[in-house]
Amino acid sequence: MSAVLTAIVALFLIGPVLLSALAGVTANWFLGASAGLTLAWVVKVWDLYAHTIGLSLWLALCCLVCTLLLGVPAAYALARTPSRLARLLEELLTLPVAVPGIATALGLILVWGAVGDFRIHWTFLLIGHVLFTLPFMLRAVLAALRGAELEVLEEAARACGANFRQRFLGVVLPNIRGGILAGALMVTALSIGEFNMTLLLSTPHTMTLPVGLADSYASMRLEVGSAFTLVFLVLLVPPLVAMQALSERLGR
Amino acid sequence: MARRSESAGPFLLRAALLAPALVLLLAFFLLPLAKLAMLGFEGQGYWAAITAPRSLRALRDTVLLSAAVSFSAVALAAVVGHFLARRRFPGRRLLVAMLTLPMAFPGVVVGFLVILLAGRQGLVGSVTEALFGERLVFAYSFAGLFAGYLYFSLPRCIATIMAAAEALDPALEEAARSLGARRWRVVRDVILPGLAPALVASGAICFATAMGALGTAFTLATDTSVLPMLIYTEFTLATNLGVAASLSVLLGATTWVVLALARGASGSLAANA
Amino acid sequence: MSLTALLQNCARSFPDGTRALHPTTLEFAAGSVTALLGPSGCGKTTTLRLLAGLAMPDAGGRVLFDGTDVTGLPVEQRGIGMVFQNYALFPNRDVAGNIGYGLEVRGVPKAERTARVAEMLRLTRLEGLGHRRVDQLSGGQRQRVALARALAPAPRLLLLDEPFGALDARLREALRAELAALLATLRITTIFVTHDQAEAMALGDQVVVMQSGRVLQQGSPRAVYQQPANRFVGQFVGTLNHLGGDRFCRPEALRPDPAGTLGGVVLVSFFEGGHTRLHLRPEVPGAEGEWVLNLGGTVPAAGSRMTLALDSAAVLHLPA
Ligand SMILES: Nc1ncnc2c1ncn2[C@@H]1O[C@H](COP(=O)(O)OP(=O)(O)OP(=O)(O)O)[C@@H](O)[C@H]1O
Ligand SMILES: [Mg+2]
Repeated sequence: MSAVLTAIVALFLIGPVLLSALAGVTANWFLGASAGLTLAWVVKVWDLYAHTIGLSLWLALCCLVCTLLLGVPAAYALARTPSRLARLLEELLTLPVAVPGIATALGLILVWGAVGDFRIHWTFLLIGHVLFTLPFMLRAVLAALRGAELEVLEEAARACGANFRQRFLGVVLPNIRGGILAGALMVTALSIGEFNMTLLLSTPHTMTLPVGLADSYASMRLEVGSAFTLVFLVLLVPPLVAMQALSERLGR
Repeated sequence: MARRSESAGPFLLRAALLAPALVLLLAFFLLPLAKLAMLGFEGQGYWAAITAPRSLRALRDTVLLSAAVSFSAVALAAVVGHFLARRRFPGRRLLVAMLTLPMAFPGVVVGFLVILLAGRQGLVGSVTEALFGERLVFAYSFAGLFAGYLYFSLPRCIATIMAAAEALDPALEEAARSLGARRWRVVRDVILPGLAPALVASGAICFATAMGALGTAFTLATDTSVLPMLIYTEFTLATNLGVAASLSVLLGATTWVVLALARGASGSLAANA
Repeated sequence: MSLTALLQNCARSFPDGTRALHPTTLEFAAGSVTALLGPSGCGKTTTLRLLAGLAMPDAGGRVLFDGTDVTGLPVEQRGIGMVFQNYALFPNRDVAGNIGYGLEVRGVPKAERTARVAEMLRLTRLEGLGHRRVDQLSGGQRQRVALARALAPAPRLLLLDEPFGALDARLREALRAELAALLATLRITTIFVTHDQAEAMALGDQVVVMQSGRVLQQGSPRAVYQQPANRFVGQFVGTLNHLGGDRFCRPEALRPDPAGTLGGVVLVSFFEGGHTRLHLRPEVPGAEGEWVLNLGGTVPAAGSRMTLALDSAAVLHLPA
């Protein structure tokens, strides 16, 4: 019975993706696949929306760098501080996940929207993405820090005379790379797909891939939307699969 | 305690490691949220905004939708997650990868997939037309929203619950069976109590995500208006900042309360387990 | 009450080609206590799981309880009691809840159940711990809860996988004596897994010695010690001194005797309390390795030569 249910769930999750991929290369969806296959829609999408793809990839990369630089040291400090204040700060830092993205976006616009040209600069989006993804990086790294017997390892390194920098780079980081990779995977995927916050934050100058997708769904014919979805999947899937395989290999 | 903190270096160092993240949080999250909350008190005020029938209806629908989706997703994911954790069969890794992939899909894409599935030119429509001579179209109704929300909730629930099921000691299930427990007794007495913390936790995350989700509703443009959509409309179309702010606070507070309740429940569950 | 268990031509292979158990026929007599003994990975747990119904034998194998074929019967319908290697106590139930689980599943009324649980608590000397959470128990207490849980539904076959594996040496011995006494009063057919030969000899009235998925010998502890089937069994259940060719003897077959015909040079001695264990380099043509013997009283110094006599009736002829 569980097998049947698993199969149904798999069909529900995978079927529509295949359907969309097919629609993206069909000349005319109303007539069905018999009308012939074409890449014309994909080309059209590329002409119209290439800039949104570029911006999303760039944002995801910057977001990843920021969350690594901010999140890994912060997680380390939190894991090593057993005080109540540290627990409170941890709670605070993971709060942006619990608050609906549209509320955060509204607040950001209220406070920072009128500051110079910040509103129409891509870094305005970056701030939002980092806020939203940082908790995921923090959690993944914290779990790795708490899971491994890092404290003992670090004490062993101290006993060997290693200073903080040597310990952090030589003992801590290599032993939590599984967690960091898992966090990186999550951050990249979430940043590329972020919409709840981005819809309000983006401007015609700063349009990301999901906002572009929404635009195409609303204003273009079905085949264009499908083609754009196909492009999105082709962009998203390979790096995700690669990173997943990598983190699985390093995780053990 | 002392040993712990010593091994992490001096307090100042740790504070320095933590500071950049905290500054970001303060400037771009706490401050804006405070401002948002303040704004609600000005103008029309909270009360008027959140007691408007339209707001209440949206709140009710959003909570109903999110709760229904969370329960369904957790129930389905419990079966699927446990199955995937225990069984070994060829292609299992591929299946797991495919089941968890949609985790990365933005809500807008999910909405579009629902249109392809159950929209005016959707697959379900074509199939039902061929079979019964009538097109079944439910993408733009509550059912469409439900399907979409379920779609983006399932992968994360499956991943979480599968990890928890893998951590369950199979010897516990065998012990129960050796004592004479049949399938459903094992599920009730061993598997569900063992998975309970993960079920509650993933249900809570699911709920919070569903409450704040905008993309799916945005694409589907359904008759049912969820709260995030209402906030978006108030802000962009009506440029009614005060109302949008009040509703945001309402949405955030509702989500937070439910999460806190779930946290308490899972805390006491974990203590019992 | 107890039953005779029979594994008939049972083999067990895994999809990756591992043969955990080669075709094996083994009988466990009603009321007997059998130790499955062997090095790690030899197939002990596999054998136990076949008996329990947690694993299926390859085609052709059959499991019989008192002559009835139970091969197709899943574990929950076999009516056995089982103690798992790490006890597998249910963390969401207290001690009494764990012990009473098998009765609860069988629909035994509450009052009867409570009485039976109290009886089991008494039997395993856990009185007063009924409402303790299982993660607040010591290792020895957990082991006893696992045993009480397995025994509560009055099984006709008791299976234990390394029941003392997770305990320290001193506790092992104490609990071993306790379990021996308990099994003697209950007279349930019992099969337990161990890789500790002393435990197997002390507790079992039958010992099954296994290696690489095969049974090498089944017999009483005395028989297995005094007439091992081959060198491996001989070495695994005790110490063998090589006398040359296929001839071996146990340490106690050698004794210091000025009129003796054998000689050796003392290499090292270990004082072990009641006796001293001596390692000698044999001065006998063809004898390989070291000899071991146990001496009471004063011991010759390392480097000195000893003359030894051999009890010729105790010479073992063992194939490789
Ligand atoms: N699922 C499996 N797949 C492949 N091989 C297995 C599997 N389970 C067990 N084996 C192999 O079967 C053999 C016997 O295993 P078994 O668990 O019966 O050994 P054991 O005698 O109980 O060892 P130990 O004393 O270490 O518990 C081992 O070589 C083991 O590696
Ligand atoms: Mg074993």
